[in-house]
Amino acid sequence: MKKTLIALNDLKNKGIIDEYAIGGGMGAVFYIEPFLTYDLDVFILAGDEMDLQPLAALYQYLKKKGCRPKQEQIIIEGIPVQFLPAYNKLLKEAVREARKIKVQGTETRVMTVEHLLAIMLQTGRAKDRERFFKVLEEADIDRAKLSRILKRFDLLEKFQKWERLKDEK
Amino acid sequence: MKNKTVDMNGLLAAKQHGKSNFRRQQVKLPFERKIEIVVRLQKLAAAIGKITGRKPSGMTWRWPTRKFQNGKMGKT
Repeated sequence: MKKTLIALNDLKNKGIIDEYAIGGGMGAVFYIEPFLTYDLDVFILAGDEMDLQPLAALYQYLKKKGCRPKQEQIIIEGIPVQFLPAYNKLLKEAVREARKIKVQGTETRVMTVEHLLAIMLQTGRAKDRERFFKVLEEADIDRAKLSRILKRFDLLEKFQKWERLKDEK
Repeated sequence: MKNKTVDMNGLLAAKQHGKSNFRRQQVKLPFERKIEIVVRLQKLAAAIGKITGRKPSGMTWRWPTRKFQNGKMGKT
């Protein structure tokens, strides 16, 4: 894992990407009890989000480093990593405001729990809903901050809908 | 036979208490330790997948398959 994080920091230091943050399942694992998830989702900020060139440059750089692509992921030091451009305002904010952490002495960035929750709501798949309530139950959440984010990104209604569905179960 | 009364509420509360204590400990583990656990879970899922012929997807457990339910194992 350490080598994977060093490779991610390398991408930023070499200017291939502007910024990155760990999100998705592994991001959630940072805040709650570990659960089964398959890859490391890394959201990146790199120039124009509609321009796929940063991803091409990134893949080229990693291939030169001996990493091999596998379907939509790229294997960095044995860990499947999926790079996803931050393609909307919420994701961009989540990457920008991610918190700095240290893993095995290596600095990295993970999205805040409040942003992760908002992204789960926005994405809205069955597994997002499952994770959403798990995170809500187990993590220390700044409710005021979460509420502000949900309001700003027009997700309050969806949040209430999910709450109702949960109660109906 | 002696009529035993079981405090079900108490038992449930104790079970819940134990579970939440365990969960609290898991939540507080360092990230690197959590990643180790995730990797172990992935290996376990792969091993189960070999037996059932299907792999679980994320948190959504997708077995048993129809073939497995019928007492046979194999890919669907």
